[in-house]
Order: sequence, then structure tokens, then C-alpha cells
Amino acid sequence: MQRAYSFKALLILGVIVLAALLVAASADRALAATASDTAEVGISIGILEVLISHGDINFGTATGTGYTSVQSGDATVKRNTNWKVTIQADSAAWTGSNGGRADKPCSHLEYNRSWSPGWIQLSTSPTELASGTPGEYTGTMSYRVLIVWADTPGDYQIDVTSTLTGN
Amino acid sequence: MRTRNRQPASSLKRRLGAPESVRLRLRLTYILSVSIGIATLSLAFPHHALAAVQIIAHSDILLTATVADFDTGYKLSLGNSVLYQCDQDSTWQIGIRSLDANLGPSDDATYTKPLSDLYWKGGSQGSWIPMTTSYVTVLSGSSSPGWWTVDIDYGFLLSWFNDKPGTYQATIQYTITSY
Repeated sequence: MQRAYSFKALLILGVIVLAALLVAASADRALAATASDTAEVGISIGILEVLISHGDINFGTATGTGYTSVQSGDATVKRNTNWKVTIQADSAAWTGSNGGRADKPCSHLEYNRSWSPGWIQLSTSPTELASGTPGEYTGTMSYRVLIVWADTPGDYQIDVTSTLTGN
Repeated sequence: MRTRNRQPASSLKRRLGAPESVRLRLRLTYILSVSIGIATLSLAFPHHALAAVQIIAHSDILLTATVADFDTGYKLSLGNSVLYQCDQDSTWQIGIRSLDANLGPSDDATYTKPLSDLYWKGGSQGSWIPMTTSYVTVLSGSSSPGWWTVDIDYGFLLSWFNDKPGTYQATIQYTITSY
């Protein structure tokens, strides 16, 4: 009886050991049959903006006092944050040449926005032209020049700056 | 009754010193146990589970968007290789999914970029497919043992109206399953 029992004990022990080995081996194989891994896929977006202003505006030759003909040009704003655009004259007076006076005020240049009625005199202080939420926008700017008797014959030119910033 | 089952460990040693006939029976018992174990192993784990496959290498991807990308409407990252290994002849399938439900918030936390703004294509998928959290098969087939690659392209949709500054990303999971 003692001997028979020992054989059974050894048999059971052997099966247990084999079962343990079986579980260990199968665990490795099962993991290998389906394997996963991960990767980060991303994109970094900073503050992006574009201001496309119209080019130079030429009013031609004025033929009398009062306002010149209206000249227009498109401007485009793209920005991925809230934004605003300001406009200002770079100098208080026009630059006169070929006889043109040197003190024609910048306010003689007036602008009009397609998205907001009314004519506004230009100044050297930044004035808000437009503002908005993130996006892409295009509008038309129109200009005219006030001609007065004080404007001596000649050529007149003034630089205007538009600035796009966050708002 | 239970005392009959309790035997000191030294009893085994005594068995080793048993007569030749007993040792022979011990060996036979051992052989029988091994045979049973091997048979059980074969039955419990058929051939398909023995095919060993794994993802070996791939790269994280972090793109930087530009004005030109916004004007185009998307940013691409092409030919991202995923290297995988087959230890033996096997039939397998590679899947892809996102572990994240979206691409995360903007820096000011006022906008969350949707996961569907991330597209991918590659393997047997020739068209751009919006990323989801569900597995989609990239490629399936059979390979001999060795290392293999599958190239995956990624594309982010971009919009001037939506995409505020921020870093948008998702954790992408590649899974290879052998059959």
C-alpha cells in the first residue's frame, strides 16, 4: 500500500509539474500570437496668420477740388486665433514731389470698408479696421483723396500700414 | 485518515533507494506523465497559437503645421514604417486604432480637435480612412520567418476656422495577430 501510494503521489506530482510548464509555455505563446504596440501621432500648431493687403493704389491725375475717383483693393486675413487689423498712416503728411506741397495732411486720404459703411479719415494712430474670430476672411477696401486749393500741382504719395494682431 | 496522506519528504529519497523493479516503475510513471503532458499541450494549443509575431519598431510622429499647410487644408506624414517580425511561417493580420477618443484640446482649452481629423492609409488600404477607436485591418497575409514592414501614411485635416494653437495628438495602437 505504501509503495502504491508513492507511485500515485509521483504521478500526481509529475502531472502538476507538467501542467505548470504547460501554463507557462502557453502563456508565452499566447502573447506572441497577438502583439500590440503604440505610437504617438500628433501635430503642433502655433499661432498662424496671413494678411494679404492690396498693392499700391494710384488715383491718377486729379482734375479739380473735392474727392478723387474711388480706388479699391481686396485684403485677406487668415488667423487661427481671434484677431484684429489696424490701419495707420506712416507719416502725418503726404510726401510732395515735382512741386507738390510737403504738408498735405494724411487725413485727406479716406477709406471705406465693404463690411462697414462710411468714410474714415486716415491718421497716424492705429485704427481698427476689422476684428474677428479664427478663420479666413476677405474684404474690399476703398480709398479716395480730398483735393483742396492748397494742394499745389505736383505728385503726392503716402505710405499706409495695416497690421494684423491677436485680439 | 489524513495521516495516511502525509509523508515526509525523506520518503521519496527512500524510494530512490528502492529495488530495481520499483525504480523501473518510477521511470515508467515519469514517462507516462510526460506523454500525458505533451498530448495535453498539443490538444490545448493547436498550431495557430504557436505562430510567434510581434511589432518590432515604429516611430512617434509629431508634425508642425505651417501657413501653407493651413492653406492646403492638411498636413501629411508619409511612409511611416511599422516593422514586424514573424518567427515562423504564419498567417497574420495587422490592425490599427486610436486609444484616444479625440486629438486633445487647444492650448486655451476652448476647442477639442476631433479624432476624425486624423486620416491614415497604407497596407491594403489605398484610400484615406479617418482614424477611429475601433480596429481596422491595415494588412493581412502570410509570411515566412523574418522581419517585414508596412508603410502607413498619416494626414491631419487643418482649418483656419477650427484649429487654434495647440498640440494635438493621439496614441495609435498597432496590433498584429497570427493565425
